[in-house]
Amino acid sequence: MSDTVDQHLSDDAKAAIKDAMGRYPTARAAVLPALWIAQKEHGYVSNGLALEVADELGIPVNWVHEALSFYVLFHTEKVGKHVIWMCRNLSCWLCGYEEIKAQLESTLGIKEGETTADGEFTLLSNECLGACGGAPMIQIDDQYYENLTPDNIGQVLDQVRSSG
Amino acid sequence: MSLPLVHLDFEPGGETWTLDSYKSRDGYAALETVLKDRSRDEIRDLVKESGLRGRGGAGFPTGLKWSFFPKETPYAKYLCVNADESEPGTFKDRYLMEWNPHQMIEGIVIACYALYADVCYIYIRGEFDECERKVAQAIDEAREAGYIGKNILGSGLDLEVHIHKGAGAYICGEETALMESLEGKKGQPRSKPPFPAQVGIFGCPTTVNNVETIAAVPYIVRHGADGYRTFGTEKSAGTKLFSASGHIAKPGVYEVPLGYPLKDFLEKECGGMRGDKPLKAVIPGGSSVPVLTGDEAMATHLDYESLADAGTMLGSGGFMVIEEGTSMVSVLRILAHFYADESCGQCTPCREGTGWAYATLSRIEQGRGSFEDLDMLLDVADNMTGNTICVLADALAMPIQSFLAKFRHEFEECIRTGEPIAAAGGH
Ligand SMILES: Cc1cc2nc3c(=O)[nH]c(=O)nc-3n(C[C@H](O)[C@H](O)[C@H](O)COP(=O)(O)O)c2cc1C
Ligand code: SF4
Ligand code: FES
Repeated sequence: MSDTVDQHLSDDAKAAIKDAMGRYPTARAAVLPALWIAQKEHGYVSNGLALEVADELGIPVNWVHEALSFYVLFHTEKVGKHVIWMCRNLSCWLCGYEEIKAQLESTLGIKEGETTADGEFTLLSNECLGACGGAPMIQIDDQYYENLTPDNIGQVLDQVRSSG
Repeated sequence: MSLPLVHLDFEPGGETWTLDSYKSRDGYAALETVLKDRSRDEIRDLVKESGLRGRGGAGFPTGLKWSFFPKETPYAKYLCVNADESEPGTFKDRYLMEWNPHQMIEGIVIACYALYADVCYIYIRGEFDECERKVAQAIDEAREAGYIGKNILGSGLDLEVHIHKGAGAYICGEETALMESLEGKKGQPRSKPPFPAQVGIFGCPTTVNNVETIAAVPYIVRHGADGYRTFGTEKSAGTKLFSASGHIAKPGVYEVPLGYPLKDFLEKECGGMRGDKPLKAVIPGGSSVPVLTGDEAMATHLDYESLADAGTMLGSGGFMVIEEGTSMVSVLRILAHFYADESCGQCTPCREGTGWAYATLSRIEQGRGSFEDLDMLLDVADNMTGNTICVLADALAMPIQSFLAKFRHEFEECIRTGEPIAAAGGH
């Protein structure tokens, strides 16, 4: 878990955190928005960055770690440039989750939980993403991709890759 | 002349989420009349008379909930809109926020007026980035137009509305876990009492309502309690959004009057089954509610009372359809995995029970189960019922009990043959 890269909050991020604090009567309540800001800037939240977030909020760092460890959308280790969340819950499973998963794993050459060697994609799974009408579906970064088939998934990956 | 639907009175396709679009559909007209001519008590009474019930899952009468809320206090008072929508099979709040966010915002302002609340937080689940963008844009537009902020429409009413973005935890949809999460803590449900109406977020009185519930309020103001009651039944008033998914031809979000025959819903709205295989089972209200066999499903109606009579619940309206040929052992294993993953871990029967159930069901699915496992599953489910701080444990106990009551032969078959179930679902 050693931090190879020193992560620091930019001035913009610090200003955004201050802004978030203004929306709540306590500093602690801003820990989720602050972590979102930090993660958006760095991709994941290292121990060093957690400390900076705590400083910025003026709260004990263990409060930051409590949030980091409880909420699954926060990454505490380096992840790929794009994070893929496959929905593994019932409606997606009924409509072909297993095939989508197999296709993704073979196209990317990795298993769930891993990151491609070029650092482009991390493949994870999540519970129902609230898009069961488009099952099977996945989320990549902040976009949903619905009605997937083993045939159209390659296009989706190409599109994401070329979007930078 | 029949009244328009409560939520989906627009054609999908255009930019229905903008203020202009909403205003062309009479948007914010209700708020203007409320602030001009209606007292706070009148609005509370109106919501009570409308028969509106909470659409987040529990179906608690909204007017009654609001009546517990203190009127005059020296503290701040809060409304939280529950937009955490994570009950598997449910996606109607997401649809409302992406396509019609202003109706929710108008509902928020009217609700806060009626409740004497000064601040509203909309707790949006962390994965819902598109909702967050749409709702944030709608809040900006509404502030610009003077519908939120200071001295709303010159009435002297002040209200701030903020988005609070979750970060991936189903349990934060439970209202007291939501409050912990809003305070920046891990989302562990609180023991009640005290109830949120007395001690909610930041130690202050708080009401939590679902997106769909709040979005119904402007309609009730515009058309009156009687107008709202032209839909639905005596006890289940109004319309309900159903999120339809699974093995059907036309998955999607549909609004129907409560009391609508399930058979009609499946055949008309859902377009029937997606292929040649017949109907096997329906989970009518989200993953937590007891499963219905195809025959049971076809004989019931979509309202709180009919579904209770059929031995299940309306829940969040997550309507999941399962065709013949699907392994119910695998289906239950998937649900158990979900609850085991999402248990917050505070209560032993839940933490241990959900984990045990998942491990046992996986074993059975892989052809390594024993007949004692089935009794143990029922024992575990029994232990998980009514013994815990929140009802997440019950939310797995109910599927376990109903699956074993209605599809026990499939579990026994699996144990008898010792054959693993091939990864089903498919196509
Ligand atoms: C485990 C659990 C998860 C829940 N998830 C949600 C949810 O995602 N959205 C929601 O509105 N209500 C959810 N609820 C219900 C809330 O606790 C609460 O009853 C509801 O938000 C109240 O609003 P309403 O009266 O308008 O329905 C959940 C309850 C439990 C026990
Ligand atoms: S029942 Fe489960 S989820 Fe609910 S408080 Fe107890 S351990 Fe947490
Ligand atoms: S089950 Fe996949 S989005 Fe709901």
